[in-house]
Amino acid sequence: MRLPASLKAMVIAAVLLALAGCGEDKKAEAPAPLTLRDLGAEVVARECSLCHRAAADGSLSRLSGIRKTPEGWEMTLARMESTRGVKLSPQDRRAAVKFLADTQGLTPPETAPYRYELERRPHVVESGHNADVMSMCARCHAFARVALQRRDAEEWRLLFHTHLGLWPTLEYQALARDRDWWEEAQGWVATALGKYFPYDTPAWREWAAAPAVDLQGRWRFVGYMPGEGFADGIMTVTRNAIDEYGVAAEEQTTGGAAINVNYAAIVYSKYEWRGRGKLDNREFYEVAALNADGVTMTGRTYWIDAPEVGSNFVAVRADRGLQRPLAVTNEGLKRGASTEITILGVGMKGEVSLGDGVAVRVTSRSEDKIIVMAEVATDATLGRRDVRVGDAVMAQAVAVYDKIDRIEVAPGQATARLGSDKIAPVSAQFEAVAYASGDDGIAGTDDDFRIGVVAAAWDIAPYDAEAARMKDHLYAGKITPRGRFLPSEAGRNPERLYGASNAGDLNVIATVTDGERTLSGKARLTVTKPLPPMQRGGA
Amino acid sequence: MRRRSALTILGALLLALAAPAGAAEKDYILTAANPNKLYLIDPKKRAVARAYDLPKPDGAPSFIEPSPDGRIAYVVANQARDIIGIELTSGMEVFRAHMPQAKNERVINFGLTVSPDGAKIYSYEIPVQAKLDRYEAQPNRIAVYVANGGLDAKAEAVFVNMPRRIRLLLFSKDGQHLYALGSNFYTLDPHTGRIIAAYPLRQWQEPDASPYDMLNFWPTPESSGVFMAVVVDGRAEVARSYQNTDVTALFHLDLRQGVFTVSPIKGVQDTLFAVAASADKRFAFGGFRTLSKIDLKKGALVKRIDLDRSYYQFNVSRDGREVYISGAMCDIVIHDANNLEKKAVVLLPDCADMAGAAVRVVRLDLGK
Repeated sequence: MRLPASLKAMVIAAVLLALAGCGEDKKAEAPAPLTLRDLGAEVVARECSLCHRAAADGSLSRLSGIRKTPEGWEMTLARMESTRGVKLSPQDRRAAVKFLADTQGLTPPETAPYRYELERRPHVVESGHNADVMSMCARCHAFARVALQRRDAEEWRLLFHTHLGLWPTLEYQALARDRDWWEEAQGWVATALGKYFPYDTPAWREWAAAPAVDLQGRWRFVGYMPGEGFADGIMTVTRNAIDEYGVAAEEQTTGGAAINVNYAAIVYSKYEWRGRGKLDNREFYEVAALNADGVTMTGRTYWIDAPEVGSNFVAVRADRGLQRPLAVTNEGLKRGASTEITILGVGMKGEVSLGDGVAVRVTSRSEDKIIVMAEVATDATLGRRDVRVGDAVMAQAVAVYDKIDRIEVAPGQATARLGSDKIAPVSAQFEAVAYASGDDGIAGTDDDFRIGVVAAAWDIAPYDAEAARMKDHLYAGKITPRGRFLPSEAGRNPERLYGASNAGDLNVIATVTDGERTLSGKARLTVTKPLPPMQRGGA
Repeated sequence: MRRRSALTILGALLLALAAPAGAAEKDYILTAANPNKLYLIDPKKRAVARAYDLPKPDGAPSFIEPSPDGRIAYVVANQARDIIGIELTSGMEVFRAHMPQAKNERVINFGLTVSPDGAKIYSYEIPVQAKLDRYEAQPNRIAVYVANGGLDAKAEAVFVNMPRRIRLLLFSKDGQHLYALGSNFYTLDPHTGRIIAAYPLRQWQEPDASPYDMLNFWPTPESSGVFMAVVVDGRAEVARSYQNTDVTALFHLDLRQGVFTVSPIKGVQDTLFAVAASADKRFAFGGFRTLSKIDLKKGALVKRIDLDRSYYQFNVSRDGREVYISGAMCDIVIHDANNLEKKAVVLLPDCADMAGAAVRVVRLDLGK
């Protein structure tokens, strides 16, 4: 196990100070201002080493054998406070998280498959892992929570001890009592996790040695909020200290609203961007990763009081001469029709082309935004196609279609949660996505192509016979004309059969008109009990 | 501490002696509620006969095991960290187990029974040691406490390395066997903790059927001498209800004869959360959102009715005439065991929340 040199030094200093009875004279010279990370090193050495004993090499028992994301370390500190009596000031806690995430964090490829958890994207259905490992771990929490940590097998074993220490009855739950849960956890599961997610890897050593980044400058960003549409703007990032920034963002929504907001951001582990600010007195949080190119960031901004409501965004450096279209606001172009589309990007110069069979008339343009009228010939080739602006290409960004063949409702499986005056409800946003069946005219084959998000009328209905018997659709909540499901009040409802709560099992149905035809699609929505307040919270 | 416990016991003895001799014993429903209440309910009067405050710290009283003479209620309280004995006649705390056996040990109780002579309390314990920088889960154990151990009762015997995932301890009526029931079923020697027999439930082998799944928190053998629990297993050939292929079966353990069976019940389509046998062992009553009456000889549903809400627990009066339904919220409903009609509702004072607390039937003389 390798220990960051700075921690080693701090621990040794702390131990020496303790041995010396803390009686060293302090010299009167003005100290250099501490960075957040340095303060964090001090906090870890001072507070954590009280229980996590230092070895001869300065490593702290257990603590030095774990790598986590900033959110993972935040959770660890919260648990140390709630179950182990640790007391940290908000600034010390912030600093400790910074230090730990910097020196014992994850590399970008390690977080890439699981960013949905960090970004708090709703309705993710995890899959693709060993079914038994999923049952062991992900029956209670997201598998991403496991996969966003790095430990060796023995340390995974100790984590299972922690589980029984905090939740001694977890072996009795469904999907635990059907197996030798504890014996398996201590045996093959810990071994497997140590193999999948080990502490020490060459990639981690390399990342730990990589230079720090400076994200100061101008960034062009484009965000998309499901159900609401696009927003774009410029953020000016100013460095206040190492890895600490001030952000001034000027934003414009497709609805025409202009937003100016100033907020603060921290970069952890050389790529984990975390912004936090207030808009109209409502707090938002921003989670993004600096990509390997060093000039783009992708992430999500969400409301802290409603993490399911958020905007997925990409940001590109606007001060490096980059030329890039980033988004097209209207991706479905119908044969024989004229469609107005807006191309949002950065540094966009040169001719706009949507390929053969589509005549382009630019009605307005700047380097950031181009509005064009696209006239599609009646014989234009059907399917997805590129958008070109000068030499820059946005691959497969639009679709030419003649008719909609089917509607899919996204997400196909969703969860909403009842709320009360104490715990806010969790809503669910749906979108209707149109598809064409392609040349073979058969839905569900390889030549199908996505036409894009289309306007729809929304309704809810019982999912099955039991939901119909319980009249779930009358009690669980309502769906807005924009496809947002708003759940009902939590608690017993004396009006219902059995005095049941307003939980429900629903189909969410989108009805779309295409010319004279009407099509519909559906998704399953589970409306269930409120989350405990700790899990409902945001950042 | 010891002195106080001796005084308490002496007080209890005096009170017992002072009770009028020959006063009629009656049946009561015994249950508990958040945060610290224990109740005796007179089912004939349809009213709470007595309410007790459990000692601090508060927290989710759950399991209740009456002593064989009905005089003492052993209550698992304080988030399962305490076993408290309350003498029902005097209302005094007469017993408290000291479960931790090592410094930094945190222990919860997850199974409790009293020997038929009332002398010993058997506690299934899940211990975890909280060390400076780590937790260390310890092997689960059964600790034996002497019932007159007072308010700081230490284990008289400890059976270590007990099977994990045990939820219930039960005694055979003759006191010769201790049963431990969880995802599997064990018969133990109550003197040594030796496993005499281990029966697979989870690994039950039957063609076209999944292993049995059973999780039962509330034994109710007091009227029938039979412990019953609901078992769910999936059967490939059955797919008839919205529960798809799940079949309900009953685990049936006769505590007098020491015989157990698991048999499927025809016609049950609803979730059964808990189930209890009638005194004559002819019927079982159970449910969740519904009340089901099951003919145990025919292995078939006789009747079911909708309930006003979901309930966790079901018990039967000793004369077999009434079904007591409780758990979660504050109303205990009494139904007719013959036609299942609702006969009465008993409301707990201040609508105290029973949550997962047990409902037991005890026979005792309250002395007034």
